[in-house]
Amino acid sequence: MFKILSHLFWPHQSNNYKAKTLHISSLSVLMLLVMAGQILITIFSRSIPTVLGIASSITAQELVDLTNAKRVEAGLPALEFNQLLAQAAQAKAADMIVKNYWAHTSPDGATPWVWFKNLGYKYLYAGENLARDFSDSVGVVNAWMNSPTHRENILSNRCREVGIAVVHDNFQGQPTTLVVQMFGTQVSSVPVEAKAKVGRITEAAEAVLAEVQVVSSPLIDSFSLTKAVSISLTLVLLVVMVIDAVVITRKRIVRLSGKAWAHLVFLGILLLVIIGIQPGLIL
Amino acid sequence: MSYLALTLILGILGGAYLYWPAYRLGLSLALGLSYFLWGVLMHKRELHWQIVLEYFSLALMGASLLIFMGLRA
Repeated sequence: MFKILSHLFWPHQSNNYKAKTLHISSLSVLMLLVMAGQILITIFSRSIPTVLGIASSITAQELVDLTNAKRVEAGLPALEFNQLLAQAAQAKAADMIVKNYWAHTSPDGATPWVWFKNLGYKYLYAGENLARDFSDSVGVVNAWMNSPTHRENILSNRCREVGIAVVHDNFQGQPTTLVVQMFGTQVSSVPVEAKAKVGRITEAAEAVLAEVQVVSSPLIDSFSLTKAVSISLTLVLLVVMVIDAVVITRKRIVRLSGKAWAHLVFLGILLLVIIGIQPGLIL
Repeated sequence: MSYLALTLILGILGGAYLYWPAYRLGLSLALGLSYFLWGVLMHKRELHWQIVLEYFSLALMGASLLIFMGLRA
């Protein structure tokens, strides 16, 4: 056992004074294992989403509360939750899933304001924030607040109401949590309640809306699993590389190899980036 | 000096990878490619295929890890 470990991780006569883990053949095998692992994660997260999938604790209520907390901090009045805006947000989310796009404007040219109009929400001012793949509500609102345009929507003194949709579904080939946040100020003289039931959402979007369910959290989050494997692999290589560099320098062994310091810099930065990466995209 | 240049290039690309999620695929490839090219340039006087392969395999593995992380994030 000790001999095997020594062969794998320690520069030695048996491995030609270079830890076997750092040989090109071993690195190729590790890379193939990583790729195979990713394929398995994709397959399992689709076939058994309750065991392996995305874990998301985002709720519309939390997002409204956090948005309002940011507004109050900035000395602005809290936004009122509007059911019509929430329905418009649901319709937009369903449309993105059905038509497979990630944008404010749909491939057939429908702007976000189409969803307001379809539900009879007559607005003076309106805005839309989108987010996907975040694991919690705090992450979503923080990402929006760090982006000037999204922050402007949240802290707009023109907007009075907000509606939010949080949809868990397969989107662009993987399980995803989509968040659509819509802001608006109604033309107060127009009674919108009468028009609320006259939805003109497309049939396909309605079908998705009917299917939309909040899925239970899976046992293993695919993002966390990938991150843990990547960190472990990089860390093992980094440690073996340090051992290799120290032993070779001490024993003054001359061999044909790349620059150890360069490998250490590369793996070190790779490790920092992998540790720093957070899930989620905003638009 | 050459190590400082490598650290700067990789650091900037790594920072950009974290800051601009929309460009993660391109930045992962750029990071791997930069490292590979740096390795080849540094060894141009004693360039052996084992050394080229060593840099290539490390660069490819790093880029793959970042691409997979970007896809899952």
